[in-house]
Amino acid sequence: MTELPELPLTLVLNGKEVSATVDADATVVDVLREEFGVTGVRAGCRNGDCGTCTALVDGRSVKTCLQLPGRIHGADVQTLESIGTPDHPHPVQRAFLECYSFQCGFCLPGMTFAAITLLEHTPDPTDAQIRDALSGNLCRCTGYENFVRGVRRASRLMRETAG
Amino acid sequence: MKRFHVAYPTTADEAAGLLQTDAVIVGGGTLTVPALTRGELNTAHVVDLGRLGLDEIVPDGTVIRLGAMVSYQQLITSALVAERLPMPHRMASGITGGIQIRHQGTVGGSACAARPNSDVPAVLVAMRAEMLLRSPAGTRRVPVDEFFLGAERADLRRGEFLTEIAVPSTPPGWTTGYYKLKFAESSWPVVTAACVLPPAGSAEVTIGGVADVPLRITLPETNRTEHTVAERISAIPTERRWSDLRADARYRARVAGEIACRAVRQALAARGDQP
Repeated sequence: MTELPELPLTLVLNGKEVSATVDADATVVDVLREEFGVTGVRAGCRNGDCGTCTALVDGRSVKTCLQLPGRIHGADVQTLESIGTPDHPHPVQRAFLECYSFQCGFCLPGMTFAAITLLEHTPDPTDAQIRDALSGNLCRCTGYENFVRGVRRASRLMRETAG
Repeated sequence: MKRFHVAYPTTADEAAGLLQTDAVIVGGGTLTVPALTRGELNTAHVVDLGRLGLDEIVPDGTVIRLGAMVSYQQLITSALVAERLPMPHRMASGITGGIQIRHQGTVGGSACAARPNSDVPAVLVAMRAEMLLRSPAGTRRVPVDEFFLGAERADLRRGEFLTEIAVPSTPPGWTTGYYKLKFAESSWPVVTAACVLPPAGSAEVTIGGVADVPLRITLPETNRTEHTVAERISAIPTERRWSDLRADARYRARVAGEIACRAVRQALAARGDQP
């Protein structure tokens, strides 16, 4: 049991073990940004609506503004930093670039992880499945259509590579 | 914002012991954590159930036992739930908030929050679920009809928390339907309807979002659903009708009959009847 205003935390963050003592009553998005310097999660609505604080925690895409820090103790956490590089983007990132899916990029944590999670379980999704999967993320630049195209393209890219 | 301590119990006994009178329980976190962040919930003690492992789906005879921390996504991906609890399965697939919220939101948390227009309450009432509540005194079993006391008011006593929801399987030959009205993809439900149709005898439809608690209505004739629902709704006392910023009580009463019909038609179609 842990009951402290401060919480010692150890986790694997983007493949590296990290530790810190954090405020027990912070949310995970703030801990990742403030304590561990990771900006691939962003603090948007803090209400679970906008999706820009999304990370993978033990392989599941979650909104980190809805979690208290103890939830990531001992966990494997991946943020956008661990997905692709400028030279070798993830197929979802490549497709988003090719389809002009985004403009400012603020919404990309949620959009990228929602798309990756969808394509993991549903390699060839219908448009309805794509829209449903992206529906937990707000984008104020694009009107979403190019994200739907982007996921469709990513699906093709990933199936070609797999085939 | 008031600072608070957070405990992460690892056993149900420990959790029961930790629940002090002002403790706020965090399950999936989708409702409580933002409320804590905004200072709407003020407490010195939070008990986070995340390390308790109450996330199993276990068949037990004719009942499916859902741990209190089972997420919507677990319902969606469970073959057992798809086969034996088709209505909760359908409900989970339509939860608002995308993949992330389906990973995080829990059936048990939604039940405990007892919001009149949420998806879960009416579905659990339609399924005649049983709620298992744990406290230092032991386990109390409450039929779901008695669990929902009013708007955002569940029968959770001081020091108690939900450990499990026991949901009777839908027997072979029975069919179900679930339909909800919402105004946009990202909206909370406005009115919900959950129908259970036995092979013989009367169908039932449970309506959420019209009164402060779900209303289970027996339908002697499915072709008179709208009439039967309207009659029952007109008998709700004014102070128990539900209004919120999405719709007032009059609007809810007006659409409920049609929403009920849509759930009933699904159940009839699943049976192979011409609705």
